[in-house]
Amino acid sequence: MLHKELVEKLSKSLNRDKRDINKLLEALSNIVVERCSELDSISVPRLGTIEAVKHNESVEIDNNTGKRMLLPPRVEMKFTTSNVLKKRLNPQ
Amino acid sequence: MKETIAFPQLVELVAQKASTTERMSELFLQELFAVVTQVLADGESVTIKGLGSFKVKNGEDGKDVIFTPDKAIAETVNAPFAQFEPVELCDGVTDEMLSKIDAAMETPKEQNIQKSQGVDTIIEQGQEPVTSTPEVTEVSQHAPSQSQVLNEEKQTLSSLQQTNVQEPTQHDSELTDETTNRSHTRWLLAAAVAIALIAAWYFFTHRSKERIDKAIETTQIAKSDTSAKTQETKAKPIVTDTISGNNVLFTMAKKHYGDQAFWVYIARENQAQYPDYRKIPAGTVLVIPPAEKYGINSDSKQSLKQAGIEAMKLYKEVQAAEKNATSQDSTSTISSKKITTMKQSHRRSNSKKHYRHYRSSRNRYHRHR
Repeated sequence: MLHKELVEKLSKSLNRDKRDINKLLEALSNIVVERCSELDSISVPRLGTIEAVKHNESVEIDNNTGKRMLLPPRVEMKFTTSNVLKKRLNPQ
Repeated sequence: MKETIAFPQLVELVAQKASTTERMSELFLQELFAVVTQVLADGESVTIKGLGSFKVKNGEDGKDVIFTPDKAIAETVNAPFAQFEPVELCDGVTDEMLSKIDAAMETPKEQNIQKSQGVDTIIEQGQEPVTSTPEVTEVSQHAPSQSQVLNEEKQTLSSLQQTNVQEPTQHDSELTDETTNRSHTRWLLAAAVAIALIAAWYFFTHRSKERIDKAIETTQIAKSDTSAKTQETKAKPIVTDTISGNNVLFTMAKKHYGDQAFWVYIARENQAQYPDYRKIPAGTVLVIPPAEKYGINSDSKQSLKQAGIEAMKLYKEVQAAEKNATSQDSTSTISSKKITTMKQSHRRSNSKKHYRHYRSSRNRYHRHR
């Protein structure tokens, strides 16, 4: 589902203007960025957790050159799927 | 600081950010997450502009949702470390060194903090002191926030990257040994270069001194020679003699050199002014060269013989010059002679014509008669 389709669907179900939906989505993304920059995690019921994980620097061997490279630390965003969603995805 | 934001808190934050009511924010978030969950449960992907995309992929543990953050979000989150790039490690850097550096980064509580001269120094056990800004020490003293920790790590990483990659050994004894060895070799090289430069300078200066001394000696010798010559010339003034009826070259040679055979040298000395020694007019003052100039010795047969040879040479030269002069004159005279003979022949031919004319006319006269 694309962003446009999502906005249309939400605007219909909430009976709100697309501008308002876009505004709310923008606010949500801004909060996610702010909180993840602080290495906080955002827990969403039945969906999962969005969090920022910091990886320390590490030494890895470049497969192309075979040389040892010191990789700098980095902060990556990570999503952990909730158990509810996992069960829905894997019904067994 | 790592903090988990629950749904109610998120509702509040979104309401504040979007300037709406919490009720509206709650309804929106509930509906949004319900739609996303439903779409993902159906196995489809969802893309939210400014946040990222959620995709369902098959993994080892079955289907799972993979979140790919939006590029802008990923860059913003990783902004504290965005300036760092992967660096190729030197051969001297071992894993033990890196683990020690990691330990130094991860255990700030074990660090002893000392203050000296306005700059705080963090000293670890068995390690060399690492300078840091006062902000870092304050952070370590109090409970640090997450951003401050990030900034601290950023600073320490920048210092560690410099120390690890460029001069990788402020924290390890082996590497300090290497650095000391390198510094020793550098010092040795510098000393060798300095010695070589001094030797080259001494060599060149010495050689130049020798050259200067030699030049001074030669100039002194030359000066002495010239002075000696001038002294000689001063001691022996130029001798002259005058040609007269009784005083010719032969008599001059006998008078000055003891033998008349040496007349040739007087003629040679004055050849520039008088090329033909036979045509020197009376009353001419001739320069009598010194006997040493031409090696004149009246007692030596060799000298007399040489004088005879020189006389023959001079005679031939003068003869040749005279011949050249006469040949030039003779060519001019021949041409004039030719002209005269031509004129004479012309006259003769004219006279013959006249004679013939006379005879023919006479014959006609006689026939007529």
